[in-house]
Amino acid sequence: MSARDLTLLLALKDRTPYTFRWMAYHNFIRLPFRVFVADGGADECVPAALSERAGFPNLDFEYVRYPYDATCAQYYAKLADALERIHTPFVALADNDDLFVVKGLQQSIEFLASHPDYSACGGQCAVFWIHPDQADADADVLYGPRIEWKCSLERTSLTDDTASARLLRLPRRTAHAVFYHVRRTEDLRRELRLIRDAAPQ
Amino acid sequence: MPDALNADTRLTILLMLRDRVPFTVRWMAYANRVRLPFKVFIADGGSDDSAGRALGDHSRFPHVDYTYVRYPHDATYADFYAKLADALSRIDTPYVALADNDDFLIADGVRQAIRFLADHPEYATCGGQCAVFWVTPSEAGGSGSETLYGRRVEWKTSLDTRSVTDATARARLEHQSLRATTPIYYHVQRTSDVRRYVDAVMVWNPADLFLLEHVLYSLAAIAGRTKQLDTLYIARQWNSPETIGGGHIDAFGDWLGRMLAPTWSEDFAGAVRILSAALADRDHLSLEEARAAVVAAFRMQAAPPLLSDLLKDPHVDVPMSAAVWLVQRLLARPSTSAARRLLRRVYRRMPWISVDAVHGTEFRTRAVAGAAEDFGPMREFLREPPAAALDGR
Repeated sequence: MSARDLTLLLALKDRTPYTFRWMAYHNFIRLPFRVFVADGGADECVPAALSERAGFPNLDFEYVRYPYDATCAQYYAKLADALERIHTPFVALADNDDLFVVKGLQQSIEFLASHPDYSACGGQCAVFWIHPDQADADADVLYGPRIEWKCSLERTSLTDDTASARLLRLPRRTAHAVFYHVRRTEDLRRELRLIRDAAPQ
Repeated sequence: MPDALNADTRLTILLMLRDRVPFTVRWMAYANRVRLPFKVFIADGGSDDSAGRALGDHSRFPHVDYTYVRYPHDATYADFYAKLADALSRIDTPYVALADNDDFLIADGVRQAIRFLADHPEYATCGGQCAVFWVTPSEAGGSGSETLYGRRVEWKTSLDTRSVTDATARARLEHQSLRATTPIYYHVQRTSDVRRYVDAVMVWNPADLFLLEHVLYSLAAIAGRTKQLDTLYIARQWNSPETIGGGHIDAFGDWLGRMLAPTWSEDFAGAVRILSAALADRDHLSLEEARAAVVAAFRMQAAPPLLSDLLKDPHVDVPMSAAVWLVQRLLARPSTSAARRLLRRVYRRMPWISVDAVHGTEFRTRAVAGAAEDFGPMREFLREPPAAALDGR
């Protein structure tokens, strides 16, 4: 298994500065995985900037503009369609205010490839806050001189034999985000089709 | 007593049955014994004819002026609502009070309520104090038919003089929702009002009986002020078996359980639609404003029973409850609050405090080996915008 076996699916709905930060960071660290950008936003700056690949030369990404995510149904349809276009065996969902650690993703791919009885694999999740200065601790900013972060060890893997037991043991910790784990693309594709068809509000 | 006689003839007690025939017979025997002076309309949606056989012979209860009507079995809630609507259409007195067959009404309290409503057209309902009682045949307690009669009858009543007298329907709805109990469901009301409420319920056809009750007494609070007299009005048995409400809880669970039922969303949407329309009309609000007020009132009313349900979960313990309480109160303070800033700093900087401490699900944790090193590039990158990067601003 190699880095070429994973695609990060970055689902967008505006918050354009965060999108550009996401792209800039993963360009900065030379993210070795593919990125599929599914844009359901209204901001025309995004297609203008991401259609020009030279802005992020170290990133292997594909950009697709979708109809505006006016409803949840359109959002589900966007994700389902994006997954149909992803051809790597593994995929991970990403938001534009999250940053990934390459080593952790790489280990997750390797684990899933060698453990066919596992449907998802991820690692430890840190959370961070950025502040421009001491005075405005709640400000929402992109960059800043003061960055606080914390990371709590979470080792609750779900290893029960039955699905019902695994469901009951889903961790209560917010940091245990199976949602962002590396998944088998065919699994997530199937699940998103179901969600798209059920169209929960 | 011409005045009393006049009041007595203006009310019908609507006794809704669904089996529990021994309780119906007890209700009638008591009404007969105290010579209940009001009309009684008995709407029987039971599963067999045993209530009809017991009530068919009027000479058995010579001092009760009652009409008995056999309806189709209340197999569904739609049947129950249809029965209620039909019964109300047959009642020809200007006032009506709903009754269950394990409740006893106190004639003098009911009479005062009728008089009050007649003298105060701005009030939509009037009732009085509610006693609750438990019948147990022995020290060991009893159930089923053993709770019909017994040597040991315990009872209690808590004075509740909180009439809802606000000038606006929105304020009445809000104050009504702050009450833990909802006595106005059993108040004396104008028959034309209750008919209108039940007509709306018929179209709505909810699957959740408790939501139905919520809508009925909320509609009453929207319609007008509600009066709570000082005098005893009703006594309700709290240990009678096989109540409709108890059956509903057995089938669908507690408040939280019922809110997870597949029918809940549709039921709730219907409740909000009915109440919003009534509130908007009454207070001349926009539908959006009315909807927000209705939802806010429901939140206030639902919060205490939901808290009780959540505390039943074995995973919810005292430290979790305390942590959530503390965090919510801190978040309600301004971001400049010294206490909020101090605790935020402690939370963020103490690595042994779990990320999930704010949810009360975990307090102590261990550090992740190598995390500081892995976070390093992010920290470096996030300090200032990269020169060549677009930031969209």
